[in-house]
Amino acid sequence: MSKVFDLKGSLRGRFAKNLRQNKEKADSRASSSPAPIPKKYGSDSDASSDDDADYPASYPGSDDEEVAKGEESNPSSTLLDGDFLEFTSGRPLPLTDRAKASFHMSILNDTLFLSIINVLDYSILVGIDEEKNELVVGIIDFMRQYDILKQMERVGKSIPMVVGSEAPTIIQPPAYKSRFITAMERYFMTVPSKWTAL
Amino acid sequence: MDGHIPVAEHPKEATDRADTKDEEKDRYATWTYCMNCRKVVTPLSYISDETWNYSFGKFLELSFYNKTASINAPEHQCHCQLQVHSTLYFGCGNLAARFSYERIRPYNVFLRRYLPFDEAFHKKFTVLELNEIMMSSSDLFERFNKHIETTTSDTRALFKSAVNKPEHLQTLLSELHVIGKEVAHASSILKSKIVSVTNSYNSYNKDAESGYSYGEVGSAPYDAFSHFPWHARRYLFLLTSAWNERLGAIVQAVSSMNKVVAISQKLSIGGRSDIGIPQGVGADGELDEVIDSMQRLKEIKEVYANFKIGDMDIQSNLVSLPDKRAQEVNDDIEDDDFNTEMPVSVDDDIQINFSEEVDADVLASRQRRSVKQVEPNLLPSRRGSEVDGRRRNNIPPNRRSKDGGSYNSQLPQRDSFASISSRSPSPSPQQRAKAVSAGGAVKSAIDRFFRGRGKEEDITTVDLGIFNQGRPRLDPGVGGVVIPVFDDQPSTIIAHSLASVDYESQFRRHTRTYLKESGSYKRGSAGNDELISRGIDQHRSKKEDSRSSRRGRSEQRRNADKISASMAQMSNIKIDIEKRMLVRNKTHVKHTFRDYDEKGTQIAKFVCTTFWSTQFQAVRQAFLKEKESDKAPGFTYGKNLIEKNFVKSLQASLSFAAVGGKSGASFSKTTDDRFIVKSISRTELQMFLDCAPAYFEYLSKAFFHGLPTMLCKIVGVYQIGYHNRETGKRTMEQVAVMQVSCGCNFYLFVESPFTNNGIIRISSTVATCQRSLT
Repeated sequence: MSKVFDLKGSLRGRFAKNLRQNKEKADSRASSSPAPIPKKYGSDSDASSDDDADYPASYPGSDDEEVAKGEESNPSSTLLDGDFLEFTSGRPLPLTDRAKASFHMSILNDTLFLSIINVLDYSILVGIDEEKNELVVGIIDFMRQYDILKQMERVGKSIPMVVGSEAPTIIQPPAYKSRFITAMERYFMTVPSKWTAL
Repeated sequence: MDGHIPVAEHPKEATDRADTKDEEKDRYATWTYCMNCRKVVTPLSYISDETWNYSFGKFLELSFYNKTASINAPEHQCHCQLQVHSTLYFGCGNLAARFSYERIRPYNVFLRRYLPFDEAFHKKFTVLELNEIMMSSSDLFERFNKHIETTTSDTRALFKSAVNKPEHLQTLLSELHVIGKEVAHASSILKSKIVSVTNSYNSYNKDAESGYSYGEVGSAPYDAFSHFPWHARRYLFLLTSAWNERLGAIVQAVSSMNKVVAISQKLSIGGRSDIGIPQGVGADGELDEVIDSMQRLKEIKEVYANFKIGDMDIQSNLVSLPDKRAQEVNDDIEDDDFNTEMPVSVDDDIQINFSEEVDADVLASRQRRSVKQVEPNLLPSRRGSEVDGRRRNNIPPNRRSKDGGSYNSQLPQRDSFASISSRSPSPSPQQRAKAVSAGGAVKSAIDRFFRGRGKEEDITTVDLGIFNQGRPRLDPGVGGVVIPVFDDQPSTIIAHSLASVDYESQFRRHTRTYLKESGSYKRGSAGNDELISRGIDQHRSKKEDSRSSRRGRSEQRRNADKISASMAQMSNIKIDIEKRMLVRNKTHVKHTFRDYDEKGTQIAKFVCTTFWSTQFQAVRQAFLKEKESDKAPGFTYGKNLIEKNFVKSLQASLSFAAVGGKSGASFSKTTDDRFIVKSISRTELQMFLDCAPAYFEYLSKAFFHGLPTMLCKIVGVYQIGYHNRETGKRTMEQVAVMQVSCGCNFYLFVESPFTNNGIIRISSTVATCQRSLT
């Protein structure tokens, strides 16, 4: 397994690099958030800002702190959404049609289940095995419920939100779910084979 | 495989070529560059309006999907492949778009449906552990031999002086000799046992490989083999601490005799000429001491009289347990946050029992001593009685002996040792009262306080090294399985609890309740076990069948019947598992256990609450098995087997860097790469407890109804409390045990001292073994 990504579907502060920097100088947080997607793939960064349009600045909060807390144990290795886009050059990762189908179904089932039990903040762990050309995936961290505290956090985090920064990861479960699904659609794509039914 | 068209557009800032000929800003131009010839092979030309009406996607498809087409550029002698070599450019104004072929290797997605036990890994691990035990134990035996040697020569030296009774010295020497023989005996037994366990496992394994290549874990030889290291360590611990006790008594006797010698010499120098037996007041305390230590030696000897070194049966429960336990367990039912303070240590605990057999001269000296304490005269004698008091407190075996009888054990196997203990004399309260003087009680309390630092004993005992680890005094679990506990590894606490007798009985109670409530369901879990065992039997018989060279057709048909029958059984088992997974009753199991030191003082207390025990057990049965196979259905199931292996996995884990999790909580991974033990917050636990029925329902759909899911399965949720009375440290944490999410080759991300880049791969067995063995 050459790389492991922890994907949440939001680009805000989700660079492993950023995390390390943030730890060093916490002040630079706001400026580092926009994803530095390479210029030549401008179309993809458009796509991600489309996503932001779906989740305007009224979704407050930032996962910077949360991520910094949550993943600083392994800052050098588990990579985040931003790194994923960098790794794939902003293009979706190709999956075989069958893999993508079951992946998609699983995502739908799991996120639906989790949003029904009012859980959010889960992420998907994607390990890429380049030798076997295989992804090993699993949804993790699904133990956080959207409760009063979380609502407070949401309000609290809305204050430092700057216009133009990425959507935060703390939002209501259904919104979290649809953002998650959209992001997964954007990150992974089907590659049709000869036998793919259209 | 066919190449696929990457329909990826790369809009690009216009290059120099784009604006070489800017005739009209709004018209689209196209040109082709050949990557093989490294030049532009079709010059820039404008796209006509008619062309612009065609489908652009179709155009690209035709250009790139066609493997055989070549670039049509005769003027440049370029006949390269259109598909792989051409780069199509389209430009307009200052913009240009480039299209080229790129081969895509689509990924497969690996979804883990089963998480089987990695027997090979554990075998390697066990072998390493056994090696470690071999080495450390021979080292330890060596140290004991040395200790015995020096003590023997010390004792021999005492013969020079006539002060001490030669029969006492003889007793000491013979005792030393006995211990020496025991050391040799134990060493040879351990070696032969390790060899025989390994051999029987190996030969069994060979059998298994020649027959069926999988699924033979959990059978008796494997069990014996895999549990052997810790069993052996516990055995060695109990054995060697007994030696330590005996040697300690001997060393004490010798040192007090030496004192007597010294004092008598002093007295003789001081002008007194009665060198014979020092009846003088001065040496009285020391004489007491000698007599006491002889007495103690005798008692210890009695306690260990039937201690069979050869009896290294895996079932044996060598330690006798303090009777305090039985009471405290009852206290605990209410004791949620272990607020129970250290029980006020009762002085009886450390008093010697003066049995009927006490020598007359012992009693006499005792009386003398009590007089002395009231009226101390000479300085050396006072010091002597102090030492005496302290030594007295060191005397544990009687505690043991008195406890052994009253210990009410739930364990199915009682070994000989407990019965030995019960045989030794237990004192009547009056006798005890007689033995304690008020001053002595206070003094002993103070002594105990200082002894808590454990300096004094180190001189007279041999350090047990690795055999001291893992809290070997804890009760063995069901079937005598020894599961060590390491304070810094929560998973070991869970493992110990899951294997315990108490857990088993509480678990059974929950199962029974469920069966009663769902009256319609006749076959209980017992029935299920039966089913499983029947499945196994069939599997075995089938194996035998396959070995027999000739088989008639009828036999084949019978086998087919058997297979279909076991298929039916399997679906029954499945239904049973599903039902148990969907039980909505709370089936939490709370298990408290304690560790005691050799004096019976409680030194640590552990509480492990297993939430939703039966449901999670069902989850584990559905998930932690081998892949389903037609060959031997039924065999892939097996409640005990899966649970045993689960415990085995949890038994050794490696912590991630200390920080982690949302609240700076810990993360650890079992060394066999199967599970992550993750700390969760109280709120997360609460959330899970609320949603657990939904979770189980969801999982049952995934396991039994083909619902695709990628949820990282949680296979157990626990709350672990731990209070170490020696360090005063107490913790309470909630953990979730879940599958390792990124397959078997997941990396452990640690800021590790072992590697520079902070990544260690846990499949390197040696590193992990080092950690868990040292």
